[in-house]
Amino acid sequence: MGGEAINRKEEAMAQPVQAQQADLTAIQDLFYRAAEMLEEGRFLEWVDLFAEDGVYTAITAANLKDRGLAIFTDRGRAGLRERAAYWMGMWQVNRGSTSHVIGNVRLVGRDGDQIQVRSKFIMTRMNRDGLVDLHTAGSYQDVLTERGGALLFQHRRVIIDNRTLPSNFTDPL
Amino acid sequence: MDTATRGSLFDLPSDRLIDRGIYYEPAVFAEEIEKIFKKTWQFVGHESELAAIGDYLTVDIYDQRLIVTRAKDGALRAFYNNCTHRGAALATETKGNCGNAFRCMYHGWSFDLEGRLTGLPRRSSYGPGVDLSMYNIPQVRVESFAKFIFVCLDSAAPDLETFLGGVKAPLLETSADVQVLGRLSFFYPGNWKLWSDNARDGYHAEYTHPLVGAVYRDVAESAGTIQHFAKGHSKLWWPIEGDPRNIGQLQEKILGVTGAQHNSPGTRPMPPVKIDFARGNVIAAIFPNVHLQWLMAGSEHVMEIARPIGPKQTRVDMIAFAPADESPEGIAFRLAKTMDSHSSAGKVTGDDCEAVTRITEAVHADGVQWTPLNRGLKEGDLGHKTDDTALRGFYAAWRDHMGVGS
Repeated sequence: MGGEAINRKEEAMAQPVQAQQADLTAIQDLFYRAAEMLEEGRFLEWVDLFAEDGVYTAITAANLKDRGLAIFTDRGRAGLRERAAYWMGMWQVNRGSTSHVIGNVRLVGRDGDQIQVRSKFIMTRMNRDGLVDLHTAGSYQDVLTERGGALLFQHRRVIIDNRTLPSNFTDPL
Repeated sequence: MDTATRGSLFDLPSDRLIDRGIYYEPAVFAEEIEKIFKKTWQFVGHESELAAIGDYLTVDIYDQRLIVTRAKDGALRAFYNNCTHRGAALATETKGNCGNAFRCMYHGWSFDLEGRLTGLPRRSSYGPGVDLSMYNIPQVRVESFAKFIFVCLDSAAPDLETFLGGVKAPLLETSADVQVLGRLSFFYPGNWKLWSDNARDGYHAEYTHPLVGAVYRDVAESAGTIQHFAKGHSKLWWPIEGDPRNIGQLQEKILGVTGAQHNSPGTRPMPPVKIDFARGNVIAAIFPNVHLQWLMAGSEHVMEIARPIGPKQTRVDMIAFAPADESPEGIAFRLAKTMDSHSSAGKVTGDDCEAVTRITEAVHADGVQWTPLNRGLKEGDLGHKTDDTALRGFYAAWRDHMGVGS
């Protein structure tokens, strides 16, 4: 095989890798912005990261393997705004600052304009004594969609490693 | 705590007061385990979870670990989750199927579905004619009502139906034919009785839960009853007030909090689930620690069991139900939405967790010894839903078990 042919093949292979890398960067940016908005209390901005008919749901890993009893499910921006309202004062619970550390971000599929992504997260939370605890950990299973040049959450499923929840599990995951 | 102090703790002056020490004193907690939890019927699960031979559920009554299984004859059997050799737990999952036997992971001893030792590796080393029955696991009492399974560690306690008494009716009315959707548990830092109190306290709802105050106007003055049954059980009932689909008041609150437009004004879509508007909302409380919540005409159907872990630590196990003949669309809806208001992540129960946490943090105050139970004080076992009627009944039963007078 001549050098020109080799260069053409490498170019053909490199293009998808570069495109995938660009996608991954955009996806990570979406995830990090979402976490930052939740940690900073910018809940209505966070709602706008979802498609109009987007779904946000959480479930334990054990229940995911069973019949699928969710911890909660919010459908559409109306449902997401309702959850935002709880974070903003409809709950009377103690609030402690949180941090979400996200990693292992991986593209696992593409279907038309929708991208399936898996990632892992660890979440810490300041407790009532002012100390920081490991609050929960688990996975995000996301379906993202591109609308108007921006990536949005079409479906975000939070899978919690816990089998038993801590006493206050109302913070944004 | 010295004996004199302990004596005064139990010396409740009337049925209208609780000495707050019962919410945190280790000696009281230890006595409750012996005199209440080891003497009363304790909830395990639903018979549909034990449909096949070898299906099992595990349950801990404080430090007493039990297995309940469906034996080969189709009957339920309960025995200690404890190998009679070195004492290791035989089952570590909440539920499962063991096949024909429970095999201990330590030395391989095997027990059949009635707790009998049937497999003894290297049996000859135990000498000729070893009697395996010496090592059978003692059985404990297991009975069911409305397919709800209970166990009792006390061989002298009355049978389950006698124990349940008046609370049998609301159990049958709401739960005669159900299926289990799943389980979820959470911890809270507080005494187990705080959860029992909360389930019998209709007074708190309007103030603790902004959601309730937003959806229902004048909760404290509107219709509803609390009925106390003998032995500490009760039924809290209130009707569906107005059209349950109308969440206009909730939307107003949400708009006020978020400044955002809710895009489905006036109504929510009717959930595609079997419901019974006429029955309203029911919370059936079984002494000491079980609360069946059949809410919003049955669209939320959850059993809560408050398991005592320590004087100031409780685990709440929840089981979500659906009617046995619910449609596939209804099942999908319930799986997604049943727990929205429940658990420590729930839009309602989240606030209850905060309330019991705050009580635990502050209740031990030297200058404030008593908690009153005198709201709606009158003769009889039926009160307005916000009265302390069932709380007085609960603590009457508590005193009976603990052997203290009023």
